Amino acid sequence: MPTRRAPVAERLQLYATTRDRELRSELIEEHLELVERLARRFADRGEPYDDLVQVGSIGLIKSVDGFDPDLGHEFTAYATTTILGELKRHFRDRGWSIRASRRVQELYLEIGPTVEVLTHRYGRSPTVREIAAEIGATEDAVLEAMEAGYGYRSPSLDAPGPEGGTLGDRLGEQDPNLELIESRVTVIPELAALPERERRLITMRFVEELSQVEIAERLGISQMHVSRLLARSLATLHRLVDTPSDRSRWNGAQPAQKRTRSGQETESNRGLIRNNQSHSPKRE
Amino acid sequence: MSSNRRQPKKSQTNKRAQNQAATARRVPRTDPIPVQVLLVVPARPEMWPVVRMTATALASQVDFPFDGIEDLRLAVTELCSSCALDASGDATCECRFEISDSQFEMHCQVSPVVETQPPSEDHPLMSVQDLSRQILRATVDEFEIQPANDGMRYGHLRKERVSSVALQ
Repeated sequence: MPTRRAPVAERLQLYATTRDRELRSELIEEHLELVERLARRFADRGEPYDDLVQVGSIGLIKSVDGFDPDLGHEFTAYATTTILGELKRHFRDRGWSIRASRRVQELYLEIGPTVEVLTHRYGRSPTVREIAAEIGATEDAVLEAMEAGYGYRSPSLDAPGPEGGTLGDRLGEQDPNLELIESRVTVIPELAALPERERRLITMRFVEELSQVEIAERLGISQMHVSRLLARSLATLHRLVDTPSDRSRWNGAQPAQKRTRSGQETESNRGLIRNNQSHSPKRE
Repeated sequence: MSSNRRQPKKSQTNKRAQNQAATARRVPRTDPIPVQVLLVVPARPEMWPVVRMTATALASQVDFPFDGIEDLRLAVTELCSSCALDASGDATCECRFEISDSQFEMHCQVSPVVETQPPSEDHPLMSVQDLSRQILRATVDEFEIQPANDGMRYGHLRKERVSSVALQ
């Protein structure tokens, strides 16, 4: 082909007038390397590299088709912008990386369980690097998500408050036990709904505060299995708590008892769940 | 709300100041701008996330839009790696960020570097430096990467908060 040796600029000029399909393919293929190198810039964000090359290639095709040599721009500059734009839009459309709130939220939700798993695996608190590797995200992203967990973009407590002092100075303090009461009252009836075995498991984990490994040893099952069972039981509990119909069993039914319980046992979680262990079967 | 109980007493005596403060609150962060931050890290790729996070955290403090921050993430990495090209193993990368209401600036200086002849690239299309330049061109309003001089290399970039350059 006579065009093969001609400089890119010349062939782009030619393509702009002839719109020759073969020439187009040739120009695209010749610049695929640019796509690959740009795609590598995004390769650590949890998307498969091949997908990124695909996406970037669409950008390249757009650049070859849309390039106007008469404007006097350099093709690679034009293509770089278009390809990067395409990649960026891809992440945005996927709800990843660009839309911070959502990605960060998702990631943040993933961090907790991952830390738990890794803690058991290594017998110590995992590093951010390990968490990132486990989740398949970058350290950057994990750190960002961790920050988000502490209130992304919310005003600093050290910022000046409206009446002098700092915002932090103005914060009232809530009795931490109030929340405990609420949680306990919420979870009691649903705990009763769990099968005996799962209830036992939850007691071991959260009342006796055994580690998953210890529980596994006692029950003669693997730690992974304990982890799965716990996850399932907790999920069941969450579901029960979130279902309004189940609330009616408790709401208004025994208000006096509710008050007594919360009054008696604000010092720790344990009493109430134990209480539940003895009381709840009778209510069934 | 418990905050009512804790309201400082002076709020009753100084109503005007209170009103002024309330007005000022609506204008986001006018006081500590411009800000300069100096960050010195080993000139190694594993340090770029540190630089990047600092940069993006600063940019988000002056309410850079998210797309702008994404562009900065790319640009900051390119600037660092471009400046650190040919850096020796113990080289340091000194980054100075200057952030104002309207723009983000970064100065980057790596030393020591030894300028080697650019190897006849394994990339026929574009050298590493050229690619970095193209990326910077596409993401920031202004940049420069000086050739190594006196054992160090200096680079600079500037992006406006409402930038004329943005990847679409």
